Amino acid sequence: MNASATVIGTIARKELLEQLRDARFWWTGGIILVLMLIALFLGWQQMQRVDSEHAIARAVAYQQWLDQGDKNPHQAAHFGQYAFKPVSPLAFVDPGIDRFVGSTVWMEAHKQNEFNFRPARDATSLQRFGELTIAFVLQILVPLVIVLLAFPAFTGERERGTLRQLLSIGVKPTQLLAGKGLAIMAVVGALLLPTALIGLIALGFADTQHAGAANLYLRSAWLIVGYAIYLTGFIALALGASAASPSSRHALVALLAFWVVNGFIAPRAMTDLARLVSPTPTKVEFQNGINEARKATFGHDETHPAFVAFRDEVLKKYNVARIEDLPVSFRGLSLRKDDENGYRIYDEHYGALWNTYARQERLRALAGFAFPLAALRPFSMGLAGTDTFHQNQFATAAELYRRQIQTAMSEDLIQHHKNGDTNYVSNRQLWEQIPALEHKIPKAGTAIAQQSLNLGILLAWMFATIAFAAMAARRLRP
Amino acid sequence: MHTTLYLKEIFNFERSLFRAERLDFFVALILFAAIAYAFVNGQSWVNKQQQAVHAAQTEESVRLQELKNNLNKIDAGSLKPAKAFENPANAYWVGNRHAATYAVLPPTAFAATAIGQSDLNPPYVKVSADNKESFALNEEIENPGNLLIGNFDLAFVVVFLLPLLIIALSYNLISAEREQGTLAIVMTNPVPLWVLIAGKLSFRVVLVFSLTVSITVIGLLVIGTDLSTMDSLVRLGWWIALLLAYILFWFALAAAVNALAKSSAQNALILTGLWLLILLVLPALISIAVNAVYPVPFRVAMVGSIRSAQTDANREADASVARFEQEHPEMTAMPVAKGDDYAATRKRVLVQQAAAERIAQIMAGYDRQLSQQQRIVDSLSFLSPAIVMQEALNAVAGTDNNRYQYLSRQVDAFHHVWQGFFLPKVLENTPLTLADYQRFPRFAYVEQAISETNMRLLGGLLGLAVPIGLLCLFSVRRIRNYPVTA
Repeated sequence: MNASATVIGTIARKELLEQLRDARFWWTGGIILVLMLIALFLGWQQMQRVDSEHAIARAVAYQQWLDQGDKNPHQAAHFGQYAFKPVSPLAFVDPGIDRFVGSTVWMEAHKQNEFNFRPARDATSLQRFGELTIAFVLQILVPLVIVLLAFPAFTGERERGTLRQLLSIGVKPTQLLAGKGLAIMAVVGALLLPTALIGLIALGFADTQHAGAANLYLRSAWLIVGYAIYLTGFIALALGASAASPSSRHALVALLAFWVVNGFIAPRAMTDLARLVSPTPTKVEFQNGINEARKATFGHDETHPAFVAFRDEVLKKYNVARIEDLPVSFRGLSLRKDDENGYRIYDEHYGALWNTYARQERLRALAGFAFPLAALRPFSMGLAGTDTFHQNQFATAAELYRRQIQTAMSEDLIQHHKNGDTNYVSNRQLWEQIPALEHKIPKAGTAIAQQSLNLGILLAWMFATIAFAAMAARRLRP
Repeated sequence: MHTTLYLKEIFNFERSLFRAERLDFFVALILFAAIAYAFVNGQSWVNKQQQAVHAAQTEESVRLQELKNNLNKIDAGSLKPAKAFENPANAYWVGNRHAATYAVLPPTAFAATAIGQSDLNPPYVKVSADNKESFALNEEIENPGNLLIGNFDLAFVVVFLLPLLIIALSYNLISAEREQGTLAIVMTNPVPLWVLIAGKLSFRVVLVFSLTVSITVIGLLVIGTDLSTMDSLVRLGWWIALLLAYILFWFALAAAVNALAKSSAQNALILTGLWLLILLVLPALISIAVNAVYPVPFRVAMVGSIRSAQTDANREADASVARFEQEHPEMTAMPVAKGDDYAATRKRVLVQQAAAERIAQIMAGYDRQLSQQQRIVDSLSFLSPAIVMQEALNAVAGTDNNRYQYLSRQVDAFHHVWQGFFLPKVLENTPLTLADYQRFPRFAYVEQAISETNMRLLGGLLGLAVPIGLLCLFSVRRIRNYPVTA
């Protein structure tokens, strides 16, 4: 072991011992630990409750589909089904946007609907202050603890007169920085370890119907990496600020100001900025856009020029003069044709809407270079499977399922319905051909690929804070 | 007599100190930047919502005009609708779909000051003769990430940021004097310590309060708020009174922490911790408690039960048609007017009505739980002045849950009127005429009585006044034993 490492080790041990002897550390550490355990318990309970309620709702909805009775297949398509988003097991760490997106969507004929029933609307205005979750504790409270532990690191030594002594015996300021940094990392790590262990063990008991254990543990590992980068950056920043400040009071006030901007001001300011730069359309605008585009398709309108053209085309293809002479159901064919026209329109309009969301999110994340929460929050939600991307993945799956129903119903008409027969009905056998919607949460790799930019921003920020701390330590005034 | 003189002296001295360090300028700059940005956001939000309302109303009038034109053409004999669905005389499809009307909630004069719950509750509801579940809970499109993070509006500046500014201005109110050793010198004058603190505080209160109020009033005028009406003057009055109380609370808190005789750094930490407690931890814990006592069932369960209500009603459709024909022989005897599928639409209405009551019960269950929750929140909110303030500012801006519930009750009443207009016509098989089109019910929102809002806001003001009193009492008692020398 070389000399420098020994010095750093000695400093780290001494710092650690000092922290452990400080009653303030035990108090704040105790509060954080209790809050984290409460958050863990509540988050787990909430996740389980949503999961089981959604499972029940899903079973009920599918049973209703099967039990709808004999009817025309297109009527069955209109009856449709409801889809319920599977909750990500990691929602107990970071519930993300789950409360702010609709929990269910009606998959009916002709229309791709919006998700409805945001749980947030069924809550009191208290939730706007934020929720007690593990993510909240890690993103907001732990950085404050780091500030508390680290602000007097250098200024305190100087104010007590020990800094001169240390430097006079040949300790390099960077060694001091490394030693103190290691000690704080150890303290924070020890503080978080119990919750992390309980969480990881609990994850083994999570419902793996929608995400396999490997997926969940890989996602957890990345979550730990992300938060480790964030908290390491905070430690470096706090130590750097302490080394650069003339007094403890200055260091503390500067760090608290940064903490406030990072946690509370920058996120909101960026959200509004993103909305000003790239506005979300209103529902009326969005619906009007779709309705305008749908005017080019015929729907149930048999006088529509597109309908007439399609009819003539079909008649020509089968080389007959009248619909009655067609070997297949013309109603089935026209429904299928109209649906296919509709799919393109919905893909285009929902695609544009989701692009707007993605642009807003990229803009928000840019603040992360200075205020890392802007990059960490989306990273955390993304890995927990509770961000807009995962929501849209499910919306896409639900839409594909809807199309599967539409196609099967039209196909049944095409094959079995006799032209001119107004009493044609299908039965349970056909409904059973549509399996229940099963959605798997995307693989960890997909999520991390989505979040690579945010991870890059976080890393850049962390290295910048480390460089700042090293520079401030080198320029340390005794 | 002496006390007032000293107070004035200290007040002026603090002013000179602030001037010398240009602190007053920085405070003004920060407040100006934050409030100006908040107004830009608030106003652009209100504009966006108003554009949505305008687009909706335009869409509705275009739709109605087309229906009327078609009806004219039918009367003139130039148009013959192929299906009942396309027939503008068919009361069922017109009432349920084609003429569905927007019930609009107008923004108050102060809407831009607090976005509040208006991002979760759309400002209009598209009412039709169909059952309530088909429209009552429709939502506006929004990026869920935006909803999660919240908005930078004036209420945010006041509730979240102003306390931080106050903490920054007063965490070392007397601890700094003690640390610099100047406190002992000051105390050689015949001035009690509490007068010194009161003087220092009153200058800061006046500075923060007057700057915030004047920048806000300028902001209101710039975005074009009409401050000459009684309504907006009352709102402005409440807003200023609440602001003063909230500012006083935080200064009183800072004074109380200073009275603990700790170091400046410790004061800063304690105050930041209290800020965190009052603004984040307490609301989150109260929210947990409320959900534990009155859990609101998820809406996903509602979807299934409403659907089975509909399916049951559908199954019994033939029975209800038979019953109807028995009870109303005169209606079934009427000749079929305009439209070939009278029987089908009548069946639809009967099915709809059979399901209506059960659906209304299911939905009322949710409303009941929610209003019970809100009642607990209203009483527990006094634990955290931030909750009191946020709710009060939302109420002043008219973006609180209470007002949306008020709207929802009016929409319910209007929905009954609308159904009462159309559905009997369907059952009687009476075609709609142009004269009927002129008589379609219109929704007009009736604003809550100001006295009701006043009572709630008064409660909020009291919720702030009590902790201020307690903190002052604590500080004055504690200050007697303050160690003047370090």
